[in-house]
Amino acid sequence: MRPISIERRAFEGGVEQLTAIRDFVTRVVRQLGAHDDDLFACELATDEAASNAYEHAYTDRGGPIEVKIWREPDAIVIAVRNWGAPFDPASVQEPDLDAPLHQRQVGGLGIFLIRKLMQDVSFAFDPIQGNTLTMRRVLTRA
Amino acid sequence: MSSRRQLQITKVKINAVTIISVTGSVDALTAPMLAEYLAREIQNPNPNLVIDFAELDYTSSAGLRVLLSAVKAARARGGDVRLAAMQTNVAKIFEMSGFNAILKVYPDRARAVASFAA
Repeated sequence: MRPISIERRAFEGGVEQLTAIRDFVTRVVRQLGAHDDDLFACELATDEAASNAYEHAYTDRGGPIEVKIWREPDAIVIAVRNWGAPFDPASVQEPDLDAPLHQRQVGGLGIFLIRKLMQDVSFAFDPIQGNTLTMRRVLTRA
Repeated sequence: MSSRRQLQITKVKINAVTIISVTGSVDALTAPMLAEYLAREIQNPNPNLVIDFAELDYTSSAGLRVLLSAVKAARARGGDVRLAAMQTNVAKIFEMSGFNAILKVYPDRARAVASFAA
């Protein structure tokens, strides 16, 4: 069995890092053989995960975020890690897509999109290892 | 170095409709700029806005949140925010988030502008 090669990069700062994070994800995921829809899903889901970390874990003050990406036979796996306050995305209420305009809430869309685009979304908190959101994208053209 | 285009917002007024063109990417960094721009436009009475997304390459949920607030504010002042010419990936996020049921979306800016006369 071939050893899994993991692409890893750390980003220091705040939301101004989002462009670099998206560039990293699109480059790596493309190299790993993903196209179009999968590429877009990975880019957006990672952006949402990192944006959530900046807003909730680092409460808009910024901090390090590490992105790890690897390939499984039929999927791309992405892990987004931060060392801020533990924030469980599962605690976020899902937006009610059928609600009329005046009742639509502005929050919760990020994690909602992650769950729509990716599979096996999990969250682990460790005071030393950091908070890691891991998600898989099963490739449409593996 | 990123090849992505920086966020640029321009506007042009046709009769009672203001067309706002958004170029580049909207994410958690740039969404506040779009929010501020739209908030200024919506201060006017009966703000009829068309946002032309033909040159919008990317938006995250940060952009959707801005639009949700903008359309609420515009309708509260007797106007509306209508969207035109979304690229495929942007349209996909809209659909996934159920925003097609909230905002009026048109294939091009001419039809979006004309919709205000109807």
